[in-house]
Amino acid sequence: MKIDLSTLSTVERLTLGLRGLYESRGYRLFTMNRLEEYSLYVENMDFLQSRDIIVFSDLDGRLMALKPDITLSIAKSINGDSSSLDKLYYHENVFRASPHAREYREISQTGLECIGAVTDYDLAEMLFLAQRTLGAVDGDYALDVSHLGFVSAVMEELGADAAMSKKLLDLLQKKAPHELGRLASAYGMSEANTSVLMELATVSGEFEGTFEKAKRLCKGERAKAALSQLAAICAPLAKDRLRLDFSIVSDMQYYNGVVFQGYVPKVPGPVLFGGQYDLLLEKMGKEGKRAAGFALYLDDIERGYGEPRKGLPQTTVLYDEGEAPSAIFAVVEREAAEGSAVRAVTDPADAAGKVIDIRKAAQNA
Amino acid sequence: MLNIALPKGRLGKSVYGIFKEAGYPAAGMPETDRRLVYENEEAGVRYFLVKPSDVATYVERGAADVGVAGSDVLMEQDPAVYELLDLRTGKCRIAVAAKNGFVDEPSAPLRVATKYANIAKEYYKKRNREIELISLHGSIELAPILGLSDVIVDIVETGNTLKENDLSIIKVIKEVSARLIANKTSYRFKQDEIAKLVSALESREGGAK
Repeated sequence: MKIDLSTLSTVERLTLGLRGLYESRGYRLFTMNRLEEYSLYVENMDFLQSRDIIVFSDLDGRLMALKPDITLSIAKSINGDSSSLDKLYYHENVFRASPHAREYREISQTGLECIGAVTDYDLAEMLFLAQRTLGAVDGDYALDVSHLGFVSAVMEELGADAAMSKKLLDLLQKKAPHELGRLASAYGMSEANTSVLMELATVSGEFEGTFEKAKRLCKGERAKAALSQLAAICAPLAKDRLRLDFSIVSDMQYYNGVVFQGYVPKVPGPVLFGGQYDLLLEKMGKEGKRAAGFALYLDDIERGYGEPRKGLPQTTVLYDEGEAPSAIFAVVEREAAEGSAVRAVTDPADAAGKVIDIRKAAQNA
Repeated sequence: MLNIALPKGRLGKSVYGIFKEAGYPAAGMPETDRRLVYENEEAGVRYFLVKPSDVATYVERGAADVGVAGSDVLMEQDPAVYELLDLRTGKCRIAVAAKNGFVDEPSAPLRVATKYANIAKEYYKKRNREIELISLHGSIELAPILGLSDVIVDIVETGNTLKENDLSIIKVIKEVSARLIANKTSYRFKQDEIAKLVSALESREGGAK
């Protein structure tokens, strides 16, 4: 059967193209059902964007959930030893509460997970695929990268303990230098350290220039090593739409290295979320493994970039109720073979497009 | 062109004064007619006047690139936006207030009247105090006077309204002021224009921080 690509929606065309892209780099399609044991989410609640989950009892009494997340299920299902490398991609739906409408929504995602003996090359390849993914949506995209190892090392250098870091990171995400300054002063942080913190919130821009600014913000070896790793990973990437921004702060219980977000002009927030999450695997008892992945939010893409489907030209066959099916069938087949979307109806009010009237009254007229 | 959502009313007029002083005037502002959109092509800005509590929504959803919202609204709605500057205007406090002489009786849930449901819930949750939330949209001070609530959580500017109604502040939850907020996507694709605006607002005399 010949597939007419013009009949596909924007997202259908996009995901078809992305399948080819991901498979060209050795990623394999991973499919799963929509249910997961609720206990997986109870144990990793902070990994989720929201605590609102659709939960129900299965027939055997187990508490099940409609999946609010894909990464946890894939990470759980990977059992190989640390020397193996699993490269998987998916196209799945998740169920999440909409913060605006206060109701559950089914959200379509496509993404990658790379788990096992992940090297810096794999991370570079993942960022490259994130760039290509965003580029497939809109050539004018922005991919922002950060390194949580760098951010946590800077916090340590500034003397912030765990509780203080958590509050500071919340404000860093909002890029609120005035609030960071106030909180740092309340914690008795020195003026010099407060100023580093405030600058960290505003460091944002094209990768190379911003990277030099970031280097000036740290003194310690741990922060410098994290920046060096980030530089090495980003070295092979096109730099024109690559940005450095330290306001990307994923939960540090799970994420530990490179984190990134993607933006396209017609969607008012990030459409692609990704990062390295070795700590999740450690928490699941899969020590020694590394992992990274990203997800593209397709519903947001459809809202920003969706175009009405072109569809096929419409033809209506009008027939009398008593007409023999074979007579109608022949006309419909002939028109469909010529490339029309054909509907056979008895009521003229339902007619649309080109009308072929095979009713007796019309034939006799 | 930078699309800027400003709150209608008194705060909007004060904020517009700051933008004008920073080099972003627009003919017809502040609100000399019933228009809702004012534009200055030369300065590259288009102002929208919207309800103060809606500014964050316009910015979060990308209808405006930047906007000015009270930090009370940001605390209550927690929108996914960047908060770039404290404009140091529209200063007030969000506070718990009650009738003079009120004593909290912990054996029953505390009845709290407010239009800031999330702030009130969060405040009392941290204190492990069970509350019965009474959502109101205006004249909040009336609630304890008529026995509708034990306390209110509301904005207090001078404290005169409270004083005149035999009420007083029990606890200040947070100092409030107007904040410049930005849409996350606009921050990336209009970075130069936004940075220029932030710098102009910061550098005016006694400016934002």
